[in-house]
Amino acid sequence: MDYDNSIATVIDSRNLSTLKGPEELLKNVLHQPREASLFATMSMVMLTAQALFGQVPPELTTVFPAGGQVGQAVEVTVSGGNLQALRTLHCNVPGVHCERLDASRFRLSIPANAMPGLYDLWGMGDNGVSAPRMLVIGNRAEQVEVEPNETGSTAMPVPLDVVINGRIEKPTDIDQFRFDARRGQRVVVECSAERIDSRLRAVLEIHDASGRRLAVNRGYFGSDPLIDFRVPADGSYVVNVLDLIATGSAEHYYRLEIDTGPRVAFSVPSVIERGKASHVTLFGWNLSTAGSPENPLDRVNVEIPAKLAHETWPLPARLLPSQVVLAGAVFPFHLPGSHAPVLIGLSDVPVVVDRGDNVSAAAAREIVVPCEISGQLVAGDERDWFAIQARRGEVLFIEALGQRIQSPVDLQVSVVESHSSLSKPNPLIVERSTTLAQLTDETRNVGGAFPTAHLDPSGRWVCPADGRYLIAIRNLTGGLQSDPRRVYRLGVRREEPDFELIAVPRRNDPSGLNVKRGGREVLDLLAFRRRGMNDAIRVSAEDLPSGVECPDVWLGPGVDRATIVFSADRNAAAGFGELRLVGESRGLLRDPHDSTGERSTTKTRPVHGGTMVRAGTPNGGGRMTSFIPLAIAGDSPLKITADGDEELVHPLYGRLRVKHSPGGVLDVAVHVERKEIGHQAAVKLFGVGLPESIPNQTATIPAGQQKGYVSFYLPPTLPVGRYSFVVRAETTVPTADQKTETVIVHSNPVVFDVQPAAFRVEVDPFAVTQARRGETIKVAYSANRLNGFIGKMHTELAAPGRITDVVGLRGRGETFTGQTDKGTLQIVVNDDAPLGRQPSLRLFTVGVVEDEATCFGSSLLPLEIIE
Amino acid sequence: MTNFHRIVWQLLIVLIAGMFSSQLELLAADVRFGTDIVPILTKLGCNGGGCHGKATGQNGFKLSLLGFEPDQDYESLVAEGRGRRLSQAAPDRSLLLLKATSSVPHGGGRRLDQSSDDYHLLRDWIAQGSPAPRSDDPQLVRIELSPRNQVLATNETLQLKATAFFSNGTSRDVTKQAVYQSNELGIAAVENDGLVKTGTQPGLVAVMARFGEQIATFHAAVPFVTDPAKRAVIEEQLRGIGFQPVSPSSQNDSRQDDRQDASPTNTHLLNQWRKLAVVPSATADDATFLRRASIDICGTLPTSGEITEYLADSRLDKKSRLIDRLLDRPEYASYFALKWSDILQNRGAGYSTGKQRAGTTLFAGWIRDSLATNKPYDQFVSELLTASGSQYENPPALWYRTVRKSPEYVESVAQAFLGVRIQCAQCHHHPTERWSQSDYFSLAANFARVGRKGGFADAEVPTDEIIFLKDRSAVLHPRTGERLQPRPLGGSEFLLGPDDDPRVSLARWMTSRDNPFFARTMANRMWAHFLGRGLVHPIDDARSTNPPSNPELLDALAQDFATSGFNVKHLIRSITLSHAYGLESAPHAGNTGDTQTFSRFYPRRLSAEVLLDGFSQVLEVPTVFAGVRAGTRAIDLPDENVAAHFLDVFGRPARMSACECERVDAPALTQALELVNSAEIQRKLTEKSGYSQRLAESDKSHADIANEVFVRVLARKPRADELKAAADYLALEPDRAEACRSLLWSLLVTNEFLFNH
Repeated sequence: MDYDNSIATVIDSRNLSTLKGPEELLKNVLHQPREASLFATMSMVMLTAQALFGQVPPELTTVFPAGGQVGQAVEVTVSGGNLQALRTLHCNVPGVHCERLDASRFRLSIPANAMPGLYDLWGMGDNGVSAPRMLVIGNRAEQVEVEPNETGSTAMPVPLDVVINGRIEKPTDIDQFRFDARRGQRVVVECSAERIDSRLRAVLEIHDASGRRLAVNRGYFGSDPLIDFRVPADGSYVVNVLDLIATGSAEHYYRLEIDTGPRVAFSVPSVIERGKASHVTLFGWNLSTAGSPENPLDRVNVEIPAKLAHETWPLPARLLPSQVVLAGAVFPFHLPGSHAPVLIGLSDVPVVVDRGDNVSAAAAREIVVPCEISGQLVAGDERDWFAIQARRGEVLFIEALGQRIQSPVDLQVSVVESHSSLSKPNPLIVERSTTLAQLTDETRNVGGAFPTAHLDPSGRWVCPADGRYLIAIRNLTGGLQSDPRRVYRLGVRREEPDFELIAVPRRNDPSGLNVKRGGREVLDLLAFRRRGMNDAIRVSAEDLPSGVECPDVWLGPGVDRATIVFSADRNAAAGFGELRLVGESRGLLRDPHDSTGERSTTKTRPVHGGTMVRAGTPNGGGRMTSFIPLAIAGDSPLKITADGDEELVHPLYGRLRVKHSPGGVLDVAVHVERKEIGHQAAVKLFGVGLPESIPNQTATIPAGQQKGYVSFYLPPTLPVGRYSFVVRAETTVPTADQKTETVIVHSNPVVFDVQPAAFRVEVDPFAVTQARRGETIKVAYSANRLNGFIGKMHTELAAPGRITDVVGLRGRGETFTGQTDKGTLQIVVNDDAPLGRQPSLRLFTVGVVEDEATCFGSSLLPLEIIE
Repeated sequence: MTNFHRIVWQLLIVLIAGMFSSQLELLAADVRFGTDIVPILTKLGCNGGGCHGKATGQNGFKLSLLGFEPDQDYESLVAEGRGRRLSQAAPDRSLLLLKATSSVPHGGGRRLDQSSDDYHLLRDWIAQGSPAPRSDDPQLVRIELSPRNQVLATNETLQLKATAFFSNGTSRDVTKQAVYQSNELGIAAVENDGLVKTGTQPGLVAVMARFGEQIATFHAAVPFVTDPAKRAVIEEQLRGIGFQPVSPSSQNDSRQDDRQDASPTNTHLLNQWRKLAVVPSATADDATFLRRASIDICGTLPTSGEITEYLADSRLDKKSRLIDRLLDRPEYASYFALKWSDILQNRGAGYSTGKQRAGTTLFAGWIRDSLATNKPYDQFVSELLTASGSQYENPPALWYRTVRKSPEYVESVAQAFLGVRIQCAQCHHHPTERWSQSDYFSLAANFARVGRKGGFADAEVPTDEIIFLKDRSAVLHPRTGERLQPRPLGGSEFLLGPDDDPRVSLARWMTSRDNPFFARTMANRMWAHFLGRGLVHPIDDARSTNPPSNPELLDALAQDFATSGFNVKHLIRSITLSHAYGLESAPHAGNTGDTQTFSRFYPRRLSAEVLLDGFSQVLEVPTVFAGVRAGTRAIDLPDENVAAHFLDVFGRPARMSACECERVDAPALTQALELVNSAEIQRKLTEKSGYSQRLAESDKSHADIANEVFVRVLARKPRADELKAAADYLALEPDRAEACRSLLWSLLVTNEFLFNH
């Protein structure tokens, strides 16, 4: 089979097979039988078998032009790192065909039925897969900027209704474009840069033929500018595109639209009920109903048929990490003839459309819980009021969406006492009413360099007494100006736990997921817990190809970050595939339909992809991706395996597998497997993806050894549940030129359960911390029984993998029975005991029931041996 | 001695004792700490900032500065140091009196004579048990000076009388107890007892009197000419200026302004000149006016073509057409954006990354756009003060990037928009104004709920923050701990709901038509920009003790500005078309020494950016600034953190405060050295594509070169002697290129070029 053709064929078949529609996607992701291997059936692409040790995956920096027109082919040039072995580009638009022209040029054929919007484009080759760059599909004519065009006289002439693909190629560059327009025309000039992964901070200017500047804009959609230009007279006009701070490079690319056609910015309501026909008003430019001086945006009313009101994935849009809640809860609506679709939210509870007549507490609009409100805060100081009836002890979750639906607001939501007993509600009295709750922004950044924090408030409110309550929503950053773009969504719902998941490359740089044969690669999992979700979440992979493994990992109770590991065996075939990860949570949830108790529920959610667009501050950041491609390429020089469940041999109770509980110590045995056996450097170990409350630890496997331990203290506050983490190893490996290089590899996930503690062992804080060789010391300690445990407790000196007789030390065990909970352990320090601090030395206690060790606990013993 | 005599003596003794007794009782009843004792301490300088009034006191004895906190002073005097400072049993042995009379060593020396009334009053107060201030004590309400205004001749004296008025309706003469201070010592000095003595210098002077916490001001005008006959001649000359009444129909038509009209501005100027018997200089010629207006409005020299065109224009309204043309140019927005970037502290220093530069560029762009579109000034300020949202997206919110804390909010707002320096009141009552710490911190309370979140931390301050309205936050009085509510300066508390942004109320108060500060401050700022000195000078130090030199004129400008809807271009038109703005800068015998009445144009050095751009324009070689677009002019730089040695030498401010005074235009040796040694000027002179080289390569005659260069550099043709000297030099110098360079440079470093005149 011809190599290039095979890639194109397989990718096309994959597109056709997998991207049929939103419902099918979810169905596929969530319900496809495991035996129907995605990799095996359609997406695995065989690569050359001689892939070499040390291959570096491709890195795509730019794709230019960054888009094309539906039904047309576009030749793009790519740039980046390690692109020598690039074979093809893959886009998530169904039907896009890629033809390789040379090492850096490709022709993309865009089907005529593609929906305009923003899509992902990956580079794939012998060395693996890159992280995606944005590819825009438009429905206007496309042109590429031609230099020189820095001055009015050299301005590039362009027609109306065009998209120009340009670049601010060097610092201080300006691109100028001349268009002719007639008096009264409404020409929208819009520049996409930040939204399409460009470094450009674009500024737009429009000048008339005499060079007089008529309009300027430095940011409309975030920092991407737009000028709504009403042509004052027939004639020529020049559009300038420049960088705000006069920087420039190949990465400062943009798409400039000069358009008189319909354009939609947002809809009101911004959310409709799932699966139901609805009416919405679209706001934008050159729509059927002209705007007014107060609200200059045009409008058009449309009916959304029920069949469209279903979630769609992937979306023809960019989603930032904080917008993960929209994945699977929005659909793109494309007004015929308009330049791009608008995202409309979907709700599975009734939608209340705010009418704008509830701007005082006295006029609060009555709503019934659960519901989702869609409203607008046009005036800077506008507040919308809603009233609910709630019962004592009832728990409500209130969640607002503003910034996350790209509305220029910083919302504040308050729950306020209601004075409904007044015959005529007095707003002044309400002003003085007690604010019962004020919901806070999600300022926590779970994702680190992949920032997830946002300004939308949400929170839990427990009703203090039966009655009527008011909910007020306002914009904290309204200022004095009105702005119709200030739309919001406000969900008022009961406690229905839910979550979303994103998988992001662990390295803080733009890269794809490339697993080396004989090695492992990891992704960070970020959990977005909603509406009281606190249970453990299991994440597993589906339909992995032969030779690839991905053990299940667990985000323990309340944990919102973990690491998932993919390994490929030495014989795994090189290739690409789409990774399918699913998160599942089983827990006891309060049943909103059954006031008598709780029920066991299972929630399943697909894991969405994320990518770093750019690393580092201040311009770094990431976004979500439509899929997670996985590539197998190259060979790993090193593999480490972690075992958190190693058997211990106890002098009294024989072979034990330790069950963990809060306050204990988790030992992880780490085995090193090198490809080059002759090279035996030391290996530094470190935990990765640990729950936040578990302090990380480092350990070193000395040079020449293939096994070591790293131990973690489990704090007493650690909730009971199942957790997982990964051990990271750093060491050196030989290179082809007889030198060494540092490599970082990850272990398999270590999964462990935390059970309720039967007792808590604590070394006396005043116990000796130093002992001389040959000395015998006594260490006071306590072992306090918990949770009704009444059995016998036996305590020994222990270290990772050893009990009683640790290297150079010997403990004399002690047993507590009855009410005893304090004692002294005698430790003999041998003459040959190793000097210095003894890592991970601890008192290890087993709880015994009917002569069987059933529960365990430890307390670390900081001891230093001196001469 | 007989019994009779003894009885008589006894009676006499009783009578005398009774007299003294009743007098003592009378004195004791009258001596009040707040209104009698504290003013003495102030008069004697005990509570001055250099003595016991400073923050740390002096040698363990601390009084409130100038006695603004009588309760605190009473404690210090009576209770502190175990009461060692006062001795009621032996009042004359009180440490207070012993020190003040220097009977025991006193670092402050002898402040008081034992025979003085003040001594007796202090002694009596001590003898009567040092009564504490009581809540029902009459409070000092105000003081008055008489006379309040007076025209004085040079070398004349006038005794002021100060009267204090109390809350119980009484008043008394406090002339001797009051403290006096003149604001123009060259024009008039004042002695301790209120005797004003004018000197030899004519002009306007204000004398402040302070008694207790109250102040009053006496205004004097010392005319240039007092001789009646000479005054009559001057009157006649002033009549000759020939202001014509403006017809109602043409009042709003700037096209009519070129005539010497009797606009309120001109009328008030004329009244001032009449009052001081000063004759203004002659009207400047057209070329001078064109250069002056181009520099002041656009920060740009006129081109030779513009000069020719303007000189050829014979229309009566050519000045107003010129002003309109200049105001319509983008350079107007750039130049005034530079000014406002200084005032609003759009500071780039301390930042290290492009993202911070993005902020300053964004803010500068917003200011420039606001000026270009002639955004009403009230709207401009309101948008700024109430700015919220992301600094990444909402440019006015960037003001809050450098203005971050209570003192910065208060002082920036007070100085920039209210023309008031209130920083003294942060620590103590303002010594020459009514502002107290309550005023200061109540103004600060308007900003207490400015919340910040997000942002990227950099070397100096976080950037790209989100400014929002915090739920609640309190400002406490630093001394009393009282929770202060937001209120305007000198006003009562705002009525605010829990969700109301106090900044909105502050902006509304500030921008209301009848605000006593807002329009006046801007009118004064603009007047100072164009006329070289504010009607209130310094421009951001308005107070009753620093009155405007022409209050009627300032009122008229402010009122007109407010009535126009805070139309800045309208204000600029009014000022630039005034008679004063069109005068020559050269004085004549009748107005030499005038620095207050604008009877001539006060010349001033071009600002750093205008000067550098001027060099670039004349020599047609732009300055190359690192990190900004090629061809960017100095007045268009996004912030002050663009390296340019020339600009720093010529006084570019660091934008650390809202005070325009931060921009230095004082001469310095480094400036002279820069003009001589500047590599940048040398580059501009020697650049092959530059004007100098092209001129040398042209076949123009020496006379043509001299004529062209004079017009290009100085906006005028050379005089005959100048032309001859220049042509002769060009003829003598064998290297034509060097000759052209030298001629250009020698004109560029003249005061005539360096100054706007």
